[in-house]
Amino acid sequence: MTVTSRPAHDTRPAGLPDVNAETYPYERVQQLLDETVSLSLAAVPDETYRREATLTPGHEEDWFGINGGYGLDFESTLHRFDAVPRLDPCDGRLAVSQTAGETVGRLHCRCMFAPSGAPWQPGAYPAATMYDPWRSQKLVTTACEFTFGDQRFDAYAVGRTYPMVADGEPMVLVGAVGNFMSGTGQFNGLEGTFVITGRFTGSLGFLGNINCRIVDPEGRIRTDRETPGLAGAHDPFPAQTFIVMRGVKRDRTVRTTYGPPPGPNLVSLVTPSQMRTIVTDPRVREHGGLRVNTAVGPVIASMEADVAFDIAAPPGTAQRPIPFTTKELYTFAGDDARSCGTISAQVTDGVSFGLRFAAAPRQAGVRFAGFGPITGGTGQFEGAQGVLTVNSVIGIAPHALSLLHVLHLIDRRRAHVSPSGNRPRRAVDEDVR
Amino acid sequence: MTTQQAERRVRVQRLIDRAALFHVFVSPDGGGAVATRDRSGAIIGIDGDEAVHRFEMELDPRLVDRPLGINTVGEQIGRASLRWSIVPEPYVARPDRVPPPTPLEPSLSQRFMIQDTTVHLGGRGDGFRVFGVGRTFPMWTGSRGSLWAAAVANVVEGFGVFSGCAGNLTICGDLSPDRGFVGHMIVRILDPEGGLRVDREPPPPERGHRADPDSTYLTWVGQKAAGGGQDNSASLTPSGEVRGFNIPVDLKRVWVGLDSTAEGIRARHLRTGDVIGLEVGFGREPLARTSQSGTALFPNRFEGVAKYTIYGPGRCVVGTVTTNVLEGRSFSVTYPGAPEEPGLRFGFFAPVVDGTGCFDGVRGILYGAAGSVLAPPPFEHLISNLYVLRLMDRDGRFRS
Repeated sequence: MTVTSRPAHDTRPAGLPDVNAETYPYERVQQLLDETVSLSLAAVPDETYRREATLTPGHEEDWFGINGGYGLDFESTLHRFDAVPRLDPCDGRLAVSQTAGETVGRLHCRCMFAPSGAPWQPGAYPAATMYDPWRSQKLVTTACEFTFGDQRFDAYAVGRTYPMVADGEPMVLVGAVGNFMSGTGQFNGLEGTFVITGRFTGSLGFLGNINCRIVDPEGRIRTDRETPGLAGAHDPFPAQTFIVMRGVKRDRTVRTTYGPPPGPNLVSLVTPSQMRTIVTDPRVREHGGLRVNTAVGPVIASMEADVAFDIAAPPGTAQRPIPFTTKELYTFAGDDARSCGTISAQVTDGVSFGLRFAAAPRQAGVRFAGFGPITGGTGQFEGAQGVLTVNSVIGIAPHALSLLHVLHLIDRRRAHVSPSGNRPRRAVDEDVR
Repeated sequence: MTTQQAERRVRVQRLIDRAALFHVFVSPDGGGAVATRDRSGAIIGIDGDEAVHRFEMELDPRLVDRPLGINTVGEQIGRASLRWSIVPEPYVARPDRVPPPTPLEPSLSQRFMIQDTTVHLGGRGDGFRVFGVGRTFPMWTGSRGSLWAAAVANVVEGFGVFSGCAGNLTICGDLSPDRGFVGHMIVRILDPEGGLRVDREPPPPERGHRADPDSTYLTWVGQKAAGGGQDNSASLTPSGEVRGFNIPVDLKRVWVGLDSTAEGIRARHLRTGDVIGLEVGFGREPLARTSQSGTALFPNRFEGVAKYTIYGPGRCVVGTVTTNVLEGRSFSVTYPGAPEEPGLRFGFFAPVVDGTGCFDGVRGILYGAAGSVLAPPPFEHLISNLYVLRLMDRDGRFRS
């Protein structure tokens, strides 16, 4: 990591690098980060898969494999998904228009419950641990495949369940973070991370939101061509609301600072960001290729993040990522600075991977992702329950950001959903991409 | 199967079934068991006396599209003094320990310890004192919630006809700080001499008040098929290590009963009926056995997952239910005349995690009390496992 001479405003503790230093110009690094594809999808359980679900494929006579015992085996169809929050100009409240469209892919996931201290260990089976819907439990995948057309990613992920009761409805929420380990076709050789938040349904399926970030310097997936309107649009989440946001620094003048060290060998980086609406429109072409068009909209919130990690650790790898935790505070307010409320949340299970840029070989970066519980709220978010996922790429010196955050709220009373229901096709009022 | 094997099977199954097995229903009368509190006023358990009633249950003979439970709470037949305490998650419960005060959190699933709980049956001083452990389970339907409690307890002292007897209870019902406990106990007392059992039908129960009308109890017994073909097998990890056993058993109709006679409390001999389903399951003991385990102080722990398929007419499948044994406790048994048989008596509870067909979306807990001989395959496993599935059933879908 580059450590530069200290300018007058630099107040970092001795011995720590200046993360704001510009190895390359800030705008150039931001541009490189934005070459990462963002893809937000709705995952809807494929009920037909339930009959063949097993934890012991090829060994149906082994009843350790009964689905729901020591793990869960599910398939979900992946749909285009727009979840666009808007601040009402009259009352200042936030309301989300969320709509799922046509199927663009599939997710198959076989995950095993694991002891709480189970490490990130692709290819390994954890010690047998029974599913207990009343306890928060760790999960690791033994199979995880994303399929888009005839091409696929194989992945590895770790997750955690969050049993909750909201308005009398018991539910098992799940958050997970994973890494794309290998891909076929256009995905071959690409790196990426994904996060999952949603719930296990009564029939042991997964219903929720998946966000992928795929580093795509060659533009294999990114496209500027606008995708046709959503087909078969509907809201598949009767009790869940997702606030999907892209985060960036307002501009290069926003400084990242060091906070009080959260523990031995750990540092704290405090980063203020603007959170904007984002719509990611995937399309699977006739010959199987995935293309994603992204549009970013207006600011709806500010976010203060306090990120704790081991700054001396080597860059994370697919086999050994570096853990991190965060604490976030989102303040929802529009241009008039009138706030409708705040949400606080944590990332308790975060993994980071080293990121390099062929076009800027001296530039250090990190792709990192994680999840954790929503811990509180004020204003219209008083009593908020749910899960936060973050999926980001950042530069280190300069500390440019390209964040994709999702606040998954349990919302049985539809308090945070737009009363107008399904949104018009272009929800991003102000495309600032 | 050789003649010798068949004879052993019959002989051992009879040994296993030499147990007084019956149901009782426990409910508060008057004050019921009252909440106990710590110095800050937080509820940390229940303590008090409740009424014990006869409880008859069986499956309706008509099993068309779903099993229907016939549940009859009968006349009061005794009293139970309950002293249950919430304990911290990692707490190691023992009869000689007093747990630290731990507040009840009705929205969470918590462990609890059964201390000094005594059940008196009949009017001749028959009864037993038990020690055990259990868990609470917040259960919800719509906006109405209730706190269920399930537990396994071991008889630590018997009185009257139960004096000197070994046995265990499995308990499942509603736990309310205001009312105490309302629910069911399966009682299984070893009876090698046959003194606790009779062949005759007990008189029909005098129908009493059901204090948990939102629940329905279904019952069946799990036994190996008479003709064989249901051998256990080892379940192997991907690296080839044995992680547990795969266990198939037939599910049959079952009848047990309880009577208070002039000679004291008597149970009717276990009676089984036609096959109504199939259980396939995986079980394991997460902790290795030691020379001290399997005793009243250190029972073996077991867990597992099982899928129960229930048949309708012509053995068509009307539904399946998958349950996870979160807590199981087993105790070693030496059968008179067959000391070489690795006997066990055990109890367990297993919340429903999935259901299909008629059981689609159900919420409930399967629990049971059983006797068996069990050793690693190829040893022939024999078992009599009395199951009860307590379902949340506010609209009476499973009630006859």
